[in-house]
Amino acid sequence: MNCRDVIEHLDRIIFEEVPMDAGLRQHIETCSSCHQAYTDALKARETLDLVRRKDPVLRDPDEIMKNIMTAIRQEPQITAFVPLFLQRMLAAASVALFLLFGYEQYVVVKKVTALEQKFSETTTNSNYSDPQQLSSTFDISTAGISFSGIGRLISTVKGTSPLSFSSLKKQINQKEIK
Amino acid sequence: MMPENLHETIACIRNGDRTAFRKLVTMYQQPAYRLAFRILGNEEEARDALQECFIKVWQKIGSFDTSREFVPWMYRILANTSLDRLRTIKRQPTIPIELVSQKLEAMQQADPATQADNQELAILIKGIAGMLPEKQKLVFILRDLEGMPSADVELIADLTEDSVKSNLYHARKKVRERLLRILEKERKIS
Repeated sequence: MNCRDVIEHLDRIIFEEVPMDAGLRQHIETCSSCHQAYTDALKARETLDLVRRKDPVLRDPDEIMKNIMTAIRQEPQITAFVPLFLQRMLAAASVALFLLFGYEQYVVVKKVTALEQKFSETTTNSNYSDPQQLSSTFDISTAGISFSGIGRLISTVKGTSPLSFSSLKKQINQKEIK
Repeated sequence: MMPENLHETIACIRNGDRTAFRKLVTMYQQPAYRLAFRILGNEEEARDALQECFIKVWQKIGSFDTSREFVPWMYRILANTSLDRLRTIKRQPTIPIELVSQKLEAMQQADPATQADNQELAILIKGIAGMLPEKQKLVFILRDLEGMPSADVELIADLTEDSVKSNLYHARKKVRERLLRILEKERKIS
């Protein structure tokens, strides 16, 4: 055993309380620095032993018991056992659904905005008297949204000035009511 | 495996039996308090952590898998509760080596049969392990102060075997250096 081995062995002496082996004994008898290191390790072990042996005193345990028992009267127990893998699966599913619907919502809003803008531009720049032309110019597929009956809705409005999709719908509704 | 009576006690608690729960608290409050005290190094905080832990045990016992060991499960709740509290405590200054050395000497000279003074013990624990990062501190306390087997440390600290080894290695290195500095100071004083 050399000096390096002794230093590596010191942690085991301090923390694991391993007894000194013959090789270590032989080395520290001849090496003064390792002898000092070994003596220090033993003292360090004593210090740790002292901390290990001394239990902190729990003062007034009855008061603690009383507090706990009072608190649990108001606390419901969770009765169902949900295995950890299931908890994790449910958490993952929630996140996945949130992301999926969040993204879908984002896509729909984006497309409706594009649709609205395109429609607004179209009606600003041209004066379409032919509803069929208006409907075909208003290329729904470009906007990338399938909106059934939109052509029919648009065709009911004639000679419109720049207006938003929502006000267009409002006008349509009014016409239909009439 | 759990002792038979503990197994029965837990079964009763799961059915809402408060008397069985009282029995459990009586059985574990001292060792649980010791762990909380060692993590927090503060009497009042340790008392609060202990109460909070047992309330959580009552609430969550239905979700405890009875095929597993109960004590590591409970200690995991306690360790997490104590660490949460430790984070909320304002950053405390490192205990000076001189003070640790003084307290150590006083404790060494005291009658081993007498109970430790909580204040002195807190200074000693914080002086030795207070500077360790959270995980290293928990692993060191569980393994080297509480003397728990590595498998239990893994469960309580929620760490892999390698992670426990690595944290323990670094913790021991720092504690050893600290202990040697304390001893050196003691030598100079004497």
